Amino acid sequence: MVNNIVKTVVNNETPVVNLLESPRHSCTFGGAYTATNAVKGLVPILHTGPGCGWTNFFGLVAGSGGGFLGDLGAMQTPSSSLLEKHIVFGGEDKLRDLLNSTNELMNGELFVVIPGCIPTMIGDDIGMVVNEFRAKNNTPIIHVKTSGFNGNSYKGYELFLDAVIDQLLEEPVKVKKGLVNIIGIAPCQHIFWKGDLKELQRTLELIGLEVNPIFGDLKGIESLKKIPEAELNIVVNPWLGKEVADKLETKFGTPFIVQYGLPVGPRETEHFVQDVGKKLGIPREKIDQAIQKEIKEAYQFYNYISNGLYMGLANSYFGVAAESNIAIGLTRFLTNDCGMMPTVVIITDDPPLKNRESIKQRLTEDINSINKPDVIFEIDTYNIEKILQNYPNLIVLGSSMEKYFSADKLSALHLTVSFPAYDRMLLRRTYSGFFGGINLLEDLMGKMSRPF
Amino acid sequence: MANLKLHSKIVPSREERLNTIVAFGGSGEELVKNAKKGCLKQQERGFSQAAACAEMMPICNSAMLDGNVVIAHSPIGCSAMLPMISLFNKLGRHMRGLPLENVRSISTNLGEHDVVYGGTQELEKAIIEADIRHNPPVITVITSCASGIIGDDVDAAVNRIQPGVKATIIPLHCEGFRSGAVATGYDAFLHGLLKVIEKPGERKKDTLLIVNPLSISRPNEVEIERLLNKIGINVQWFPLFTNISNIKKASEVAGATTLCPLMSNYFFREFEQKYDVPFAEPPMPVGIEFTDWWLRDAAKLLGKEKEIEKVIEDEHARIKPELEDIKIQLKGKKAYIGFNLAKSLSLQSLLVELGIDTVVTTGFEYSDDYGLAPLENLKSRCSDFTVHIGNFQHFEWANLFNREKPDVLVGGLELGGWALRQGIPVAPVLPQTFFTGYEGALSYGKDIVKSLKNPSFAKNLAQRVKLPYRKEWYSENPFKYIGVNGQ
Amino acid sequence: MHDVIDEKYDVHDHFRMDLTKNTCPSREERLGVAIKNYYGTMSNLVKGTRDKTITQPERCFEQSSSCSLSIIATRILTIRDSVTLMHAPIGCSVCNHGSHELFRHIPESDGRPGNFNLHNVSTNLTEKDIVYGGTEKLKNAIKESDVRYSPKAIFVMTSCASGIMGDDIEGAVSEIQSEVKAKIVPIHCEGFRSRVLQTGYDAMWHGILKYIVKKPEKKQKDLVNVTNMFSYTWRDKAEITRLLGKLGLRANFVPEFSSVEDLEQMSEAAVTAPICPTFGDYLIKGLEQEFGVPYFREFVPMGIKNTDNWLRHIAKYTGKEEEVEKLIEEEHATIAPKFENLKKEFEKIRKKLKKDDEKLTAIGAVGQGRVLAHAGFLTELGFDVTGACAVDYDALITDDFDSLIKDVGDFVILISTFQAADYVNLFHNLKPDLTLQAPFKGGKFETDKAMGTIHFLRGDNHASRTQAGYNGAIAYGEMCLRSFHNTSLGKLISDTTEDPYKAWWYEADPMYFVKDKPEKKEVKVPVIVGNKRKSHGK
Repeated sequence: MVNNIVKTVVNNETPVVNLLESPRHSCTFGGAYTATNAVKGLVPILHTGPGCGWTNFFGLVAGSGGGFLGDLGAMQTPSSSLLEKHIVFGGEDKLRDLLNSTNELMNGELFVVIPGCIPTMIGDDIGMVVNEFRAKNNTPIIHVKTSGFNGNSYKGYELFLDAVIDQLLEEPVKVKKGLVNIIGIAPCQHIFWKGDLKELQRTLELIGLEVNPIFGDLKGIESLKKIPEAELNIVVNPWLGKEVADKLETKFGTPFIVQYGLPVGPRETEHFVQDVGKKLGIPREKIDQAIQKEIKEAYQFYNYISNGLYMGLANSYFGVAAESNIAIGLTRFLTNDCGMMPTVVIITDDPPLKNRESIKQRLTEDINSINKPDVIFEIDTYNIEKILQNYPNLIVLGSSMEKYFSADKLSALHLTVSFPAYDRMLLRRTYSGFFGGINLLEDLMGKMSRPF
Repeated sequence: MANLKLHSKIVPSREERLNTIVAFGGSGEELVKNAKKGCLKQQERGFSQAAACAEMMPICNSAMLDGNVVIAHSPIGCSAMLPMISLFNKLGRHMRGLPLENVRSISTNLGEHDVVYGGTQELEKAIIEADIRHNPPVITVITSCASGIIGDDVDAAVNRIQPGVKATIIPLHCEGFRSGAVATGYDAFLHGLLKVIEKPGERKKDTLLIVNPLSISRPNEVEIERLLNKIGINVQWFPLFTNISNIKKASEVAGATTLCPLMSNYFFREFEQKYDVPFAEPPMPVGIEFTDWWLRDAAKLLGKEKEIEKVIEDEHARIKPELEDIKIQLKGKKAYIGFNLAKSLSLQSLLVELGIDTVVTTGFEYSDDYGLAPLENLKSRCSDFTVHIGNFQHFEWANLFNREKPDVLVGGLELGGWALRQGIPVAPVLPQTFFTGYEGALSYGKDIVKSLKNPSFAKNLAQRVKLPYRKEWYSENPFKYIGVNGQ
Repeated sequence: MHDVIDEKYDVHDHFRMDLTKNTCPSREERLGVAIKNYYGTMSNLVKGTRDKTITQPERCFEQSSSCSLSIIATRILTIRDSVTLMHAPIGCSVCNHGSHELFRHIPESDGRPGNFNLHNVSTNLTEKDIVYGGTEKLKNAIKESDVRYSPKAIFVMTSCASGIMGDDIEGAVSEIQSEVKAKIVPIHCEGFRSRVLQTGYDAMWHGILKYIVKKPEKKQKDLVNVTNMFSYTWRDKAEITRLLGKLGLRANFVPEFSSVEDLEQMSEAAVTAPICPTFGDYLIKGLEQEFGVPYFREFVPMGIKNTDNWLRHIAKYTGKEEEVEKLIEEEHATIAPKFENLKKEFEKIRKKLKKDDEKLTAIGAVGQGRVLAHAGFLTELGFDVTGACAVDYDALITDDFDSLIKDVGDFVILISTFQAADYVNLFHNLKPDLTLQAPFKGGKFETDKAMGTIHFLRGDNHASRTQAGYNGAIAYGEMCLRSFHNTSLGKLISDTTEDPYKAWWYEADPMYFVKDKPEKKEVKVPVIVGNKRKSHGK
């Protein structure tokens, strides 16, 4: 395997980065904005400059495989659109006006104030304005502690849930047996979020659970209010959402388990379901019975695709540039179930240093292939291209930013599996669950059978 | 060899002409012994499975001539394979820097009415339509089981219509039922092409015509060119992906040889008889020994025996270290080779050089012309192996896979996926695989190494998928059905 | 005649730019009137501008719109051998992640350069930088950009955060310029700088004029600068290139997908021809002031008549007066029958939908320049222009609006920077037969009537996606026609989407949220005075 590559792996401290080309995320503001939009009935209220909503709509939402986010996710979002004079005189009055007028004009179950750079820098007391509003009105309201510069959009997702937990949720009356929450799939950043949450929900319902995906269903604020009633929180991500689950455990005593990487294909999904079942004390045999049909059907699809797959992509070397969740899921599936060989996995979601070792383990241990992939943490698109150039991949699974690069410079087949996805429309598409791997193979073979 | 009837419109079947057999199962030694005694029997199978037919060869191959329009004088299904051929055509053209074009084909779409009243009118309409739509230099008309049985006089129709059509119309007669030996289809195809080859003007004295089938792709041609260019021999490839004007001038070469002696057998004899072009038919140049063999035969045609020895020597010295390196990684592995016999035996020679034991080698048909010499060669170089002759016939493969438990299938598109279902990884040889000549030996050797690195897909699939045969079948003699109910 | 407009007031812009300054003044500083909210008739808007009674009202409800940084970054990004470096937190650059895919799908045979890369980079300002300042980081980022990409120019874009922190961008740039090969072009486009997005364009042109445009070495008599926009497609460029080509002229398209060299040589051109008079305003005036390149600004090449005039103006400055008449004649010969046919098709629709001799009504536009283009074009097609929406408005375009009213009659205009609620209110109240929309303005499409697109996008490369020139007139007209032929999507969306707004809003005054206005919730459609029904002949 090629080893002489630009290693930007971090040892103890993240090196100072002066320059980033198109990293695969936005700011905390963007993350909280998209998370809010992903719950029906929530009204995001932006306390920002005029273009922050626009930028994140055309960047984060449009880059996530398209579509709109709810009815308030594009240019309808109320925004204080702060200008120079507000910087001098403060933006609190402007926000106060905006809250009242929004209340007058807009239907909505929960107002979510999301600040950007300007109010944070000029010192607006947003908490005060929000509290004033809360005291005078019936519409529930929370505010998320974001600015444009206090982290990336993953943190924005966590900050949104933080705000929900701290400002909206109360002690549950009682825990509802069999109810579970899914945490760790960040809307938009995880481009398959709509389809994956639906599929994970369906999968867990097979074993008799009631599943609250929090984002993306039609229950609106109820999905948020139900969070503390859960018997178990399931973090489907090797790092994102763990702190949220911790917080929920501290506040409401809800235990949680972590699924280290998206379960893709029958093998990993079976483990996932069994792990969840075990934690909830569901007998193994009962689960076996419930999922047997799914597994059988999934393998029937393998049977259909196997000739083409093997003839077309036999033992192909492949490289991945994706978020840790997706990278683990797809790499394990293609390696352990499809006989392909990972050369390099570039993790693009900038996980905290403390989580990196476990991510690496999932990508290099319990892997069927003789060669193990190099695991590199990198968010700069320029460096990602440089790294990919060092490997003889036939397949590149990355963002759509690698599309033309893969074709022109690597002569490789390319499929968009991570953010941003400007070349795909993703609504119900999912690579998770029993049939997710088959979907992936469909898409991958589609690239191959039409090479011209 | 008896003189071929050049102007007969129909080529003899391989069974008639070469006593080709399409069913055999046994050891290589047995095959050689019987062949030498002249007592190989033409047999049928008491059970047989869907396979290729001779009609596919003219349809698919003529589709890949540059500029041609294929007319399948048949019900619509006979040309159903063309979309896939279109893909191979594009791949082949892409690798040769030709513009990417779809295969152009028209089916006369014979229906019940035509079967009762005859289909020549439909055919004439189709030819005129093809001429108007595409303005091609050539139109090939392929007969089918249906047109053959209803007795459409295709030649008469073509003669009637030719004066009004700019394109040269070539009828290719190869009804699917005519021969169990698929290679008869190659004969019919190349026999038809001979019709457009013109009398040589000036001979190109350093140029060899090399017949090359679809499955040996451009990278392989490049390797052969590289080697022959070293001794001043130019190569003219024939016939796929070349345009009609090149085909017309094919007779101007100084000699002819082939990358697939199975394919070119009839054509060379006819070609020599008509245009006096000498030919050589060495085995396919795969692996070191057979590449040496092939190069020597080819060089001899142009009197360059001495020059080629230097090339061979240099190449041996150059690739040896790397070959040794590959060999170490493949030590003790067992392979099953699944192609037509000309290709299988040459690949087997390469596997010998890589230190892999071949347990089964297959052919779709066998005749002494291209089979005997390489078989005898291999007999002296490796322990005995099973030879399976059959037009695919997966049930026999399945039995053999189970019996021999090879580590890898060296196979093609057709049955590779089925080895996976029995847990056997595949090192495929596809229309883009590089495996001929010295560089090809290294490249394909590495492919085999790679295919053994992660067998999880095959293992996984095998656990989950059931084959359609009863379990008793696996303990039966794999060749049980050969000859049963046959002659 | 529209006698309501007092023509005594001169709103001409006597502004003289000063390229020694760091940046341009904002449009509101430079012009008496530069606003982003208005609802009323065109004639009142013009009148109010002349008598300076139009002011920017304070709103107490606003929706997400756009900012100077965002609006120009997407454009600067496409300058081929440059780097777009945002001195900003990472979120500001997130909408340029398409940089690696832009234009790539266009075949090289259609004139796309084979080898180009667009670079969207950021200094990624974080909490630490906000506290300690970001100029060191900026300097390092410039150096690294230079090494990584070897660009000809590095555009340093400022942001809200860098602006409030008070980073000395100019200082940093002049300090580092000698160490890098690329020309560094600071562009002051903090999102909060101006309520009028167009200020962003001026800031962009200021930087380009100041740092990139070279002193002319020789005049290129056949070179025509064409300021093309985001909304002009590959096919529009092809159409303009074709037309100018027939005159023996070459189009120098800037800034969309131009090279730095294209920008450098602008000073050598024979004339600057804008596609939108206010988008390129700062540039065309700057090129004249600094390098003597003449310009005209009255016409946009959309619709047949406008294209005729646009070409005639170019011809005037390039000595092609005779050739242009021949060209126009030739083009009309092929286009006129098609256009007549289009009009016949619309007439069929009109008969179905309207009584007697009532015309079909339409609302279009998005930028203020497009008001001119759409109104002229829709009138040419036989529509009655009921209204128009413009993102913002300033006194630069007052005279053009004035002539437009004379030409096509008065109509209602809504000035509103992407305020989705304003739009739904407007469409609901005016109920036009055809709306030209940009659907991202709202998940709720407030119509089951014909709905077309406001403009195509720069990457579009199909003959049906043309708006400019003669072929564009046909293609865009056909798009309008198609929108009548099947309205099922609009209907489905309007039937099935939940309404984010409360019901009263649809009956309210669209200016309801202007502060200190007495509460009134009745509909108030402005009264059109004068010559609305004036027929518009050829």
